[in-house]
Amino acid sequence: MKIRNQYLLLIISFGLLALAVLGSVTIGPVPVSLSQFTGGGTGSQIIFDIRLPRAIAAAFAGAGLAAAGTALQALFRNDLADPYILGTSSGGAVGASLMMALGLMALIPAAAFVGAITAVFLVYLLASRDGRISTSVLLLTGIAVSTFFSAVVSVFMVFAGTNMHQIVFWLMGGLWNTSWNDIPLLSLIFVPVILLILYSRDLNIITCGDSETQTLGIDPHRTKLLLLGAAAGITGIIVSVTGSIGFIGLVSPHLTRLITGPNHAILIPGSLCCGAFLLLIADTISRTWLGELPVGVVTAFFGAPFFLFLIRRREEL
Amino acid sequence: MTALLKVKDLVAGYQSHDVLKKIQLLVDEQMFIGILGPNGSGKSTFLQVLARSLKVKFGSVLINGMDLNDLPFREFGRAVGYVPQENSIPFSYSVYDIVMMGRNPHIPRFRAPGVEDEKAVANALKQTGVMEFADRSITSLSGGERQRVLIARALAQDAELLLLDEPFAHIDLHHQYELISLIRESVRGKKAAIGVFHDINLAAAYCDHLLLLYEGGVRAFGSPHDVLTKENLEDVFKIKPFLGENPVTGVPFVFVMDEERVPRASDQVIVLISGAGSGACLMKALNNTGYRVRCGVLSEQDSDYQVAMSLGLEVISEPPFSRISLEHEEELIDLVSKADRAIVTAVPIGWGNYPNIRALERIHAEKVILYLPESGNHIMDYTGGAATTLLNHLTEQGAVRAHSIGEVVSLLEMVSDSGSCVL
Repeated sequence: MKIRNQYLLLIISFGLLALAVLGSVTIGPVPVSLSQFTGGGTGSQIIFDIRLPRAIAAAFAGAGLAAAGTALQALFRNDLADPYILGTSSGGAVGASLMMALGLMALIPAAAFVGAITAVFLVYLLASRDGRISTSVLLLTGIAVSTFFSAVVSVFMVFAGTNMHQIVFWLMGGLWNTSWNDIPLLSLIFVPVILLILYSRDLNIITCGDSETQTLGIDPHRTKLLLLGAAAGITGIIVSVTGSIGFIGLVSPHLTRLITGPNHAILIPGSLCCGAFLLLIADTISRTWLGELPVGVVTAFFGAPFFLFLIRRREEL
Repeated sequence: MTALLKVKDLVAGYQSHDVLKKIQLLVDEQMFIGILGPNGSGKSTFLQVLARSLKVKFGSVLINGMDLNDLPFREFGRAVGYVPQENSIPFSYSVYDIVMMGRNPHIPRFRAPGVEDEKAVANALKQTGVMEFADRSITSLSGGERQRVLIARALAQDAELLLLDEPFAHIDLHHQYELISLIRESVRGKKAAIGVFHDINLAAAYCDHLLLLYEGGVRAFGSPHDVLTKENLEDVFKIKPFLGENPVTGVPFVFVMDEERVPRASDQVIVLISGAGSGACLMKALNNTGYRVRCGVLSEQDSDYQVAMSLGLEVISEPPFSRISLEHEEELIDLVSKADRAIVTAVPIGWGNYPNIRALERIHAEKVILYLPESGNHIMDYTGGAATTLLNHLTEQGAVRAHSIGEVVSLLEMVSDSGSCVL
């Protein structure tokens, strides 16, 4: 597909996404039509104060997770990478739950951010040998780091006392708590997202091999650190708001690549759109028909089988 | 003028193990240098240091007078291009996209590729013969095709120094020669190339300089003539080389003899009856394998005679266009009767050289080998059947036929194994 057509498709997709956000706010346990939006009555309150911020949060979080997943797949040169699988989300959870246990709610985003960055670099350092990362080592390292961090979270839960149930619910990953207050924080993800898009040529080259990155004019260490930091930053911000929601970052780049191919200049924006759609749909389903089942549970139900499918499809690990 | 590349006292390697020990090298514009050396000699390590994949531990590497570590990466990318030995690209980029990556050091971060970049890519695709794959995915190509794409990317990069790490490992023979000529062509103006090669003769034919690495140090550096000497090849590769000459270009051409066969065979004396060039290859092979070869009567104008002289063999010879004299026939009979083996090649036989094969009656027939390559089982006989009769008689008595040099050598070995003439 020509690059111009791809951008056209992208613009159309973002238009559809905006329509989907508007459409989703009419769906819910109480049916409300869009015409009531400006009415000022209960309908308008439901849409404007509850459903709209939640829909926007879902779209932002989905977009961010997808962008982070795309970047991690490129940086690890492995299409099984995802913030959830690599333990980035659980790293964020450690930071966030520590602050919850201490009752320092204002510091949750910063702590989640630090935790996510620590986790991603930990996995990168532990899994790479001479700059190479094999899939099996990567997945096992991700599991080990996740398990370790989950244990740390459990310790915090035990000592959290009355805040424990808050941590438990937050861990399951959900959007029921989101309000307009969360939107400015979530919007921060677009800083690292734009950075990733600006570095799309670098990401393309990094996915193509370790040995030629330097001779193609890229400082491999500085660039990788910067972009890993960006992916971890996105994840940290989202985790601090929504808890850990898995598999959006894994599935979105895969679906998008089928249409756009692997060029990150178009893949990242496409992935953003795809992730936003997926999480918006998943959240709308969970709040409407599944009785507020945490959306992280819904994504795991669909994402985990997809992950297994990807593993089975590989010839070697 | 500063050299394009200056390597001084370079030490590099992995963790505690230094692979390269004090390498020196000066590369000027328009040089095409082939790096040769056995496995573990540090060839790839050296290229990795130049490509900045491995750190310089000690010493310095200067590119256009600038230290490698101080060069900003974008500038480095315009100075040095690299074709890796192998590459696994996990995502299905189009060939065009991959080659365009070569232009990255030339394109400002906030700009899209320009007309010049597109032209460079199209040119590189055309030169390497991958234009027809331009829209295909890199993951759908064969190993050789993929390697050509990576060479195209390096050409599009238009760097001053091109590094190639065994770039032809998976490439078809005819593409190999096309690509290496292309690389040599590209070494013009202010450019140079350094390649690691497995094939000594390919490197000798195309590179103007060879760098022979051995145990992490420079064993020799210079023209193929200076580097590919018997001593260097024996010491470095532990082979028994035979050095010929490429008939077209005149550069050295290396044949390799199987080293295991050398000591077992060395004490056997073999009389070779040949002529008209039919014995030249066998003569070289046997001599280099270590047999003591004596040549039966040859005309001084015969090409076999010239080869025998160049190898320093003992030869009985006659002036051109004369029959074998009685004196020389007796000399030959003496030689044959004392020899361990006698070999006759598919030389045309007339009355002039008939004494050559008549002499074979003086050796046990089982010690005679008839070396008849390709041409079948017959020798061109201009004696009205006398020569054929004699040879048939020898065959009946136990003389063996061989159709290749390999067969001859293995027949000779069977004898040396059993110790006597019993086959």
